[in-house]
Amino acid sequence: MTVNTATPDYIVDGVLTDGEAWVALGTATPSSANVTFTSSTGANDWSQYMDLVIICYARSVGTGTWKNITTTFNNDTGFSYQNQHLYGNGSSAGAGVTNPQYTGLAYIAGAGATANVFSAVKYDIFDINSGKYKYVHTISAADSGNPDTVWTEIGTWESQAAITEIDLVTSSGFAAGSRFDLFGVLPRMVS
Amino acid sequence: MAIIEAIETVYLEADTASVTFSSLGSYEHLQIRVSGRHNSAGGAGHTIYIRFNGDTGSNYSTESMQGYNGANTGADPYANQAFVYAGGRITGPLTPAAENYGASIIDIPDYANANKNTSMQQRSGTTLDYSSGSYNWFSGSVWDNTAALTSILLYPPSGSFLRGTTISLYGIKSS
Repeated sequence: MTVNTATPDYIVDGVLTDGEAWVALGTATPSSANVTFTSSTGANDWSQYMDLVIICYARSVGTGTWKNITTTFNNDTGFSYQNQHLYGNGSSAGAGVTNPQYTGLAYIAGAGATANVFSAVKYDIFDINSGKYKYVHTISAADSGNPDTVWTEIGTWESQAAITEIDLVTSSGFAAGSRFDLFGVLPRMVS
Repeated sequence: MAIIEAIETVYLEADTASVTFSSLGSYEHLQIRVSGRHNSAGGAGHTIYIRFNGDTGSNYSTESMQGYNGANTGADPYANQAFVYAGGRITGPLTPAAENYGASIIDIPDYANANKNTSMQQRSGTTLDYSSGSYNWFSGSVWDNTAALTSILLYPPSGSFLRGTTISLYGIKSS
C-alpha cells in the first residue's frame, strides 16, 4: 500500500493555486488480502475532496470462476445500504434492488477463471463530506468465462457521516497482481 | 500540466431554479458531477434537463436504458425534445429521507468542436427516491447543432434544485 501524505500540489507557500482536480491518494496491491483505504494527512486528508474515485483491476483468490467485491464505509456493517443494480451476462439482462450490509457490489474473476484474467471495476463516490447520504456508482466487467458479466450498481450508504474509511472485500482476498488506485476529486468554488 | 481541472463548483445555499455554466474554458472534454434534489411539490425522483447555448428548439434526442424499482428493466427514446432528457437523476420531496440526493455523471466530449453535433453520455441513479423506487440509469444524448458549446443550462422539470445540491464542472485536457 502506498499513500500520498505529501503537502498537496495545489497549495504553494500556503496559497491555493489551480491544479489537478484529481489527486492520486493511494495505491493498494494486495496479495491474498482485502483492501482498506483510510483518510490520514496531507493530500490523503479526505476532508478536502468533493468526490472519491477508485479504479480497480482485480482477481479474487476465492474458488469459482467469479467472485464479488463488496464495499463498506467507516466500518459500518449494518443494514445501512440501499442498492439498485443492472446487469448483463451474455444471454440476458436483469435488474434488482437490495438492502444488504454493503454497497458497491462488483463482479470479478475468481481463482477458477482463465489464468491471468483480471476484471475492471470503477467506483465513483459522491459528496463524501456532506451531511447527505453517500452515493456510489459502480461498474464492473468480469471476463471470467462462466458467466461473463457486466454489472452496474447505484448504491447509497444511509449515513450523514463523512467518509473516512473504505473497505473492499472479496472471498479469500484479492490475488497477487490486483491493484486499486484511489483518487480525490477537488471542487472549485468560484466567487 | 494538469490534465483534469475543476472549472467551477456550484453549491446551492438556497433553492435555485437552474444552474448555468457559461465559462467553459479551453479543454478537450467536459465532465459534470451532480449530487442533487428538487423541491417540486408532490414530486418523486426525476430527471435533470439540459440545454446548450440557450437553444430552446426541439433539437435534442436521448436514448436511455435503466434498471428500476427492483427487477424492472427498460429502454426508452426521447426524440426531438427541447432539452436533453435523462441528463441525470435527482431525488424529490416524495423521497422519504431528506438526506437522499441523487448522483449523476455527465460526460461531454469534444465540446469545443464547431464541426460536429454534440453527443454526450450520462450515468445517474437514485435509491428509494419514492416508496421502493430506485433508478440505475444510463443514457446518451445528442444536440443536433454543430456549434461549439458556450453555455450549459441544467434545471429540474418543475420546481427548483433544492438547497444543498452541488454541481461541479470539470475540464479534461488532451496531450
